[in-house]
Amino acid sequence: MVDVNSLVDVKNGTQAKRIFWDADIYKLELERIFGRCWLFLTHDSIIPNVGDYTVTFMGEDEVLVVRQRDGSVKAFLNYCTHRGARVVNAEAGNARGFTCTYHGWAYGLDGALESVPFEKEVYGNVLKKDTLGMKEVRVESYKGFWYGNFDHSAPNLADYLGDYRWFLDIWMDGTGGAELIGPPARSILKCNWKTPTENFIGDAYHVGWTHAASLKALGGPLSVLAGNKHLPPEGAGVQITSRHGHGVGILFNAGPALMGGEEGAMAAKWYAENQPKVARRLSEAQAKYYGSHFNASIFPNNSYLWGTNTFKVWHPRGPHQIEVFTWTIVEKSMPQELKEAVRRSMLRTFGTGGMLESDDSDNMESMTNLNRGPHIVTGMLNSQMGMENDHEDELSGNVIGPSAIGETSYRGFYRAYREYLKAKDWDEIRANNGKWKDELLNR
Amino acid sequence: MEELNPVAHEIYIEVQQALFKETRMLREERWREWLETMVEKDIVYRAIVSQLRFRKDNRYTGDKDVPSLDENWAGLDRRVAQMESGMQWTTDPAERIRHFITNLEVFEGKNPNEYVIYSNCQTVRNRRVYEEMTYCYGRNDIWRRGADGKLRLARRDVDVDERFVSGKNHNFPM
Ligand code: FES
Ligand SMILES: [Fe+2]
Repeated sequence: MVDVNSLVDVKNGTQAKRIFWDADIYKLELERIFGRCWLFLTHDSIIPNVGDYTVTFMGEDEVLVVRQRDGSVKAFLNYCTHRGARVVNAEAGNARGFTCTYHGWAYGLDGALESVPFEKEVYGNVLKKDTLGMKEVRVESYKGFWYGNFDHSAPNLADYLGDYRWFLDIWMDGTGGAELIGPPARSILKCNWKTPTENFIGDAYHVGWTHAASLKALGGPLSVLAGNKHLPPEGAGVQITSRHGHGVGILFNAGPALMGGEEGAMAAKWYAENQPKVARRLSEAQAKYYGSHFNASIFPNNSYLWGTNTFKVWHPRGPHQIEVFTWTIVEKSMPQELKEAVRRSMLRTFGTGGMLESDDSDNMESMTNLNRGPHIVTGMLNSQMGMENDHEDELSGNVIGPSAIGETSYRGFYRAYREYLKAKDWDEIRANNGKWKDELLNR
Repeated sequence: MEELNPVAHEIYIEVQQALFKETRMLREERWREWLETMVEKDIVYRAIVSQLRFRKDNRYTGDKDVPSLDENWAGLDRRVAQMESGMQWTTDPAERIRHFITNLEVFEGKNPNEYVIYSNCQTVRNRRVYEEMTYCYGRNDIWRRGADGKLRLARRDVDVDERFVSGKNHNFPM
């Protein structure tokens, strides 16, 4: 039995190192986090037409996501209800139905078992086909981004995102919507799934140091941080954490963070020109953040950088390994030339051949694998930076750390992490809705 | 695929030597020298992985190519600058990268001074104590002969066989 309370000390801003290593903790995570949180599946732009499908993971479970005849989306566990073989071996495509490779049971786009070879002859009337459809998973979309959830008692996706939507809307909706450019690149890293998630959610601290060489070489607004020559000035950004653990770190007006030269100028112009539009669609307060750089994660394992425009899912594969899916984010209304520049810049920075991606993965792997040492794994991790300055953000309803560099979103992520691991069901989590900020704000 | 004319034997050998020299230069971390002396200014340097699709599926409209590198000269220059910065701790201690190039075919290109070069490559990359990574890919290159008579890389399309990247990343000279 995992002693969850010993894993995270919210008030003190620390976590046990074991969370990156222990198999029993991982098992509990699969059950209580991946089994009940909303997990990213795909975007409308990847499966636009009836019969379009894509295969992905929810935790360790392989999932098939299919555009239905009525335009809706359904998702199914990608196994056959006969003997359990994989139904779809392609990663994406367009189909009229899906036929298992083992004995040929055939399913419709809606997952229903439609035909069984020689059914009359070999089964007679035994088979209850209407109970043998592919196992369906609950799905919902927010602004075209589809997520799945194994728990029917979970809040709907919009409520799960909650007040965090105030920030999401800025890039997902501000100029009329965002989309992903796929197919996703896929790579294996030998790290625990939380190491990249926490890094993306709230680590502006490492940028000037881990990425010193990349920043120096690339130019763009973030390059002044290279080699820790400068701290971002007072008031240069904020960090946010929200009810269900989602977080974001914001560097004001650093949108085209790593795009230098003409491409950077093109991106900067785009942000400047569109700010008034965002103010009209959303609010003046949100428009102030439009054109900033966001580093962020949606709990539990979906991270993105907006400005650097990468969108990632860190699928867990055991406690010590992940498979990364990476897409490029673009705003739908961007001119094609800018979309192309954004895509190229994303590849150069956070793609599978990216300069910064490779910097990060080295840290994430060592943070994980050193824990095989029984003396190393007993220690604590520290995320106390800026603890005394956290307060409520009246505009968005979240908890805010009022500086560009700090660990507010780390603390919020692990607060939620502990809450999920402790709770036996969503009702228990819901009961905390009114008091989730208390420990973070030390009251 | 269109018919291509194989080049004469001396040119084949010349191209082969250029490719071998290139890999040795990169192995010896002479990135700037490589960029300045062996790469054309209008270079297109791409690497792709292919998404898995059913053979008969011609209705899906999504791209099949999954790019991991899509660089022009300026981008390669930034990557070289990263290595030259003296701050690149991920390659300190140094990585060791060894290319094996085989199945070399050399054809006359569209323009009289260009060659089309197909090859198969296996690259073994070692870093830190335990990380040995192997990458298997094909390369379609175009090399161009300059006014000085030297061959330079004008285009490289790397086609990686492995669908996922098991060797961490494609952030190395392919
Ligand atoms: S396992 Fe799928 S048809 Fe038998
Ligand atoms: Fe990073």
